[in-house]
Amino acid sequence: MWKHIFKITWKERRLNAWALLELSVGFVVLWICVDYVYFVTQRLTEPWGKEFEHTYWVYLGVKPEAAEAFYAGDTEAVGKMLGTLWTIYDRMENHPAVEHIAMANGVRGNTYYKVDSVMKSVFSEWYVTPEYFDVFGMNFIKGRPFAGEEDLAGNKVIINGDYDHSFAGKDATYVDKITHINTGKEEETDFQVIGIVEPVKRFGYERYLEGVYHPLNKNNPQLIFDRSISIRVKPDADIDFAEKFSNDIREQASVEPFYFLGVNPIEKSNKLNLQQYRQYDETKSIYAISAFLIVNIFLGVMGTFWLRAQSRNSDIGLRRAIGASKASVRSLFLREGMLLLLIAGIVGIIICVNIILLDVLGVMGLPTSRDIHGSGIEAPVSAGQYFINSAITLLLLAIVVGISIWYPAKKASDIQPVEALRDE
Amino acid sequence: MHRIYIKQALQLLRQNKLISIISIAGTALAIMMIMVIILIEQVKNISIAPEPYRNRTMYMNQMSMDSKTDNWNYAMGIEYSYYKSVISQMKTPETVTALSSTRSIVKRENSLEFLSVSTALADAGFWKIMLLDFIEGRPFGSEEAEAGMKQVVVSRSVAEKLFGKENVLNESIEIDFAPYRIIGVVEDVPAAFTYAQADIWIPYTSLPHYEDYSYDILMLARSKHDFDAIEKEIRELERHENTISEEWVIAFAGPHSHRAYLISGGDEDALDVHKKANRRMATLFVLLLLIPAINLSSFSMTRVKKRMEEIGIRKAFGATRPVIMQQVLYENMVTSLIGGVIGLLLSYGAVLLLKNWLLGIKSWQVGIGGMGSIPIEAFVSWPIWVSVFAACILLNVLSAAIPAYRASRVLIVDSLTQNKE
Repeated sequence: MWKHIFKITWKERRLNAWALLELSVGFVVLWICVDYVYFVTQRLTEPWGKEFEHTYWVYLGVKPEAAEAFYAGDTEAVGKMLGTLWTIYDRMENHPAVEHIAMANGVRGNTYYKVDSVMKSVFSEWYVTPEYFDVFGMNFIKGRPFAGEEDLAGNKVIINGDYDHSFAGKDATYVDKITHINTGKEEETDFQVIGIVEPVKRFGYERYLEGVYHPLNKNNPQLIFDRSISIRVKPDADIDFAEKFSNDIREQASVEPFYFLGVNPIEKSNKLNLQQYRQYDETKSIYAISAFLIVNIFLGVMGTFWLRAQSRNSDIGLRRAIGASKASVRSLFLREGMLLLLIAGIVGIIICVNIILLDVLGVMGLPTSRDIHGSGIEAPVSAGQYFINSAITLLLLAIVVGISIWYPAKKASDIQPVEALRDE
Repeated sequence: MHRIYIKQALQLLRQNKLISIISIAGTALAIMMIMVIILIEQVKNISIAPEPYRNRTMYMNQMSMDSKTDNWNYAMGIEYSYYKSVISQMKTPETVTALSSTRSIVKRENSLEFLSVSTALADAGFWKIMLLDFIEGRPFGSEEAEAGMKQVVVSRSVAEKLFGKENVLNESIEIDFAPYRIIGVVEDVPAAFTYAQADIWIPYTSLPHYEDYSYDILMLARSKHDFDAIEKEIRELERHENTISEEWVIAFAGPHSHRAYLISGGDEDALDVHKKANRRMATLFVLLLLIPAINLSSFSMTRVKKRMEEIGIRKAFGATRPVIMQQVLYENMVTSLIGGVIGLLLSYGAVLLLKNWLLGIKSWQVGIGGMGSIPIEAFVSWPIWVSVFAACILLNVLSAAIPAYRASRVLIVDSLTQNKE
């Protein structure tokens, strides 16, 4: 059967050359799109290391008088405000729907830490209350969360590694001391690692990165202005929680100089935040281009095989007259299409390998999925990935080609042998 | 002569309906994608109120400071002190203004209900570069702005949400718990105008510690031709600063034209980013035209083959090669034009439906009143007509060139005996 199909294909090589060209170009572009989408989807579906279901951000505003008192150096007023902050915090903790509550203060930018003699830039550094790990359901691979005030005094930290739990190149489970490096003052401080959690992501597109958690100093006046409050809600209480909680807590939380702004589900907030990264828009563009490609290939193959069916009118009539079934006529067309696709696929794969190796995409300024901030190293395309991309692309195109050949094939097989032979 | 071609072309289309539909659909799709890209370009760059001077405005928003004594270097937004001492002293531009933004809590006095709004922190120069539509009242002037008077201009939607009406002149509202007097109400600014867009506008001098913020700098040139002069003046001012300062060497990133600013976001290596963006655009256009061209080419080839006999006869009667080629191109042109018109209409629809994504507007950049509209002038400007026409012709040539050429080279003898196939 296939030898026959090879012959037919070769005979119409002029016409097939066009179809092959289109399928090859389409394959290459689709392959690149598949690669991008696969990579981004993989990143987005990796567990964040935190559980966000039933968690909410609590927004607390602070009036300008607080800043004035702070800048004026009025330590008594500042102390009082801090006290108010923690009172509000306790009131929220006591709300029946709240399971856990935590306050956290993030470090802006990156800092440097050293393990043994390897220095690493850390982008994810937080000062947290002990319940932080409960709010976000973070699992401890080893060690324990912060217990209380003693941990604050003793320079203790909790860390998380990246993929394979690596922290500055070493397996985090064996790290018990990390050293903070203050590049400006050129001093180093040792911290004892008392716990290690599962790898954590800061946002969906990013890879796992090393993270460091310190115990929060409750007396830090900065907390008045700069802190985030997160709560975990009991699952059965999480119905219309935002409205109910706001109504319950608004007055109690609006004590000078603070005022209650509202709560927001963290899951929703995370989704919205994805918009600020270029991958968000790029992914949509990639989908648009893929759709464009698929529609064009669909139209092109359908048209080509339609014309082919027309020109082979007499051929088909003869076959049917001799006794070929309708199904065999249809399958002939289908196999021709698949053969073309296969050849195009081989050509396409060769081109793709070259494109990736020569970093053509980078030169052309086209989005490459792999250079996402924080990675430092660009993840190369592994051999396995080539295979996956090619397989997915081939499968997609096979479906498109199959569907687009169906109508012309059906028309062809419906030809009445008598009519066809009459034209001869 | 040409009318015959067109008549023939239409007949041809009717003959093979499926192929015609496929050809027109393919063309329409390609033209739609191309025109969407061009339409968005237009919307982002067209000079129309409330940003009517985009084409003669320059932008800066980053600077670098390198310490002369230590190893410190900073890349940051433009510090107010440098704006005040250096940039606002410029002579070449017609107006220079500093602009920043923040989010604020806005409410009526003695009310518990508040609105979270986007606040533009501006000075008097803002109102000379942007032309907002005042329903009532006026913007703040330079003396008022310098004095730090607590005045605010609000959008119609903010007025209606807070007071239930749009005539709110002289009313008092609290912005982050500080009382402000409303001196003007403007029509909502559509989200498509990213610099003019805000829910409320206050003088930044009315905020405590406003010198600590960093600002975007907008410079209105007297004419586009002054751009080079403006850049020169900035470099001169940099040099002057760097000689008199003991500690720091500063450099401003830019200034950028509107188009370059959009692409680079204010970054220093704008030229590099610009080049990459152009290369990306070029690759995209090639792709969008090439793939349908391949399809249409193969259809044309088949059609030409079928009409070998007819071509042969015409040649026998004296039709030259160029004439044959013309015929094929013309027939194809009909498909291209029909597809082009459909594609253009589809692109209008796509832009209207998907404006958030296409314009890159994030959910937090949309004002209280909603997305707003897209300037219709962007849809019917002459770059649009030129682009559509050019795209159609390009697609036509790409998809019919080879078949036309092959058709013209056929030997009369071969074509007349071709039917024995």
